[in-house]
Amino acid sequence: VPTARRRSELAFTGGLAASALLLLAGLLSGQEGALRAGTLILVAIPVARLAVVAVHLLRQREWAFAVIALWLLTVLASSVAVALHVRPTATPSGAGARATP
Amino acid sequence: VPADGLPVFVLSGAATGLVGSMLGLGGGVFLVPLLTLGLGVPFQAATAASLVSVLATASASASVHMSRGFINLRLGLALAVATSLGGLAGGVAASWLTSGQLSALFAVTAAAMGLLMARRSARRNVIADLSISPGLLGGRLREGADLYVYRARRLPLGFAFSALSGAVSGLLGVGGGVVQVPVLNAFCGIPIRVAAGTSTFMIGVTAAASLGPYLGRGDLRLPLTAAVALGALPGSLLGVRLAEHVHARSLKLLMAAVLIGVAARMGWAAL
Repeated sequence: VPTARRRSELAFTGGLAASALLLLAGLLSGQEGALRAGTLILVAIPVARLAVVAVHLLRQREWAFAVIALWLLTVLASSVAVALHVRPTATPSGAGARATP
Repeated sequence: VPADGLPVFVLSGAATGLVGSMLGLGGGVFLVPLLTLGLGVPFQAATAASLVSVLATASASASVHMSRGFINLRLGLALAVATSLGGLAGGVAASWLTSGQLSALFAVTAAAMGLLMARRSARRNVIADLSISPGLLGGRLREGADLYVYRARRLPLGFAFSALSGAVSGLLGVGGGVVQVPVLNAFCGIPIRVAAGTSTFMIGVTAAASLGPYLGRGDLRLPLTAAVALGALPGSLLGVRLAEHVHARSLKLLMAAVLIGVAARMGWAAL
């Protein structure tokens, strides 16, 4: 495993530890902000790992696989767009939440 | 969620993370029924919590898998293409089949895969002759002091099943790792540890992509989700290390047992 990837793995491990602490602190204190931050870190790690892989493949000039990795990142970005876009339909009455199968 | 119920959710997450990380599964296949049937959590909230727990399991075990060389990036990326195309096709297939028929189909497939895994549990997918080229999608694997080569075989079948798993997981909420790992191992000649590691890398990406709509709709119940994820973190770290000390054959038999269990559950749902 190349050094750059090993370094990023170290960062991800730190992120996991931070997330676990935030989740624990949030559960014990009832603070929503800590829970939200801890959860967000968990979502961000696989995305960041894929980005690191994409950069690694580009550097290795493995174009075909790099394109797949970049394409997957766009899929992830569109999922974020969906998350932001769907929100307005969830009205205070909860109609948006009920509309799902 | 009452505060005194939280330890139960932490334990559920830990158990799911333990088994999931050993086999390269997200664990949604155990966690969603546990939360909905066992603990009375609404389906949407259970699925959202399960997706976050998959993220926790995948993130915690991927670092270990990566450092051991159990993640075959090229293979994972190639299969991801099939999975996403399958996800698109799943939307079309949904208009042809009822969810009962889908569940029945899934149950039969899972049962067949389970039996196949159990029958082939003694067969190894590795080649001790290091002079053999692993090919584009194969690789090398270190087990203890021994170094092996493995080659990817019957790839069209692997891609077809990946597409199917993409289609089914969009429709039934089951089928990321639980389809890919057995197919890669039993059909495509990938060692079980590499199949599990590669699956771990991919399910993290898939779960992150699937979570978007749930976040937007506000289906994420924070204390519940956080408790499950908090359990999944140590559970999966333990599981991934435990898997290193377990024989490849035992991992395959565990996978076979999980598949038979899933088949029973899906068969029940189909009735």
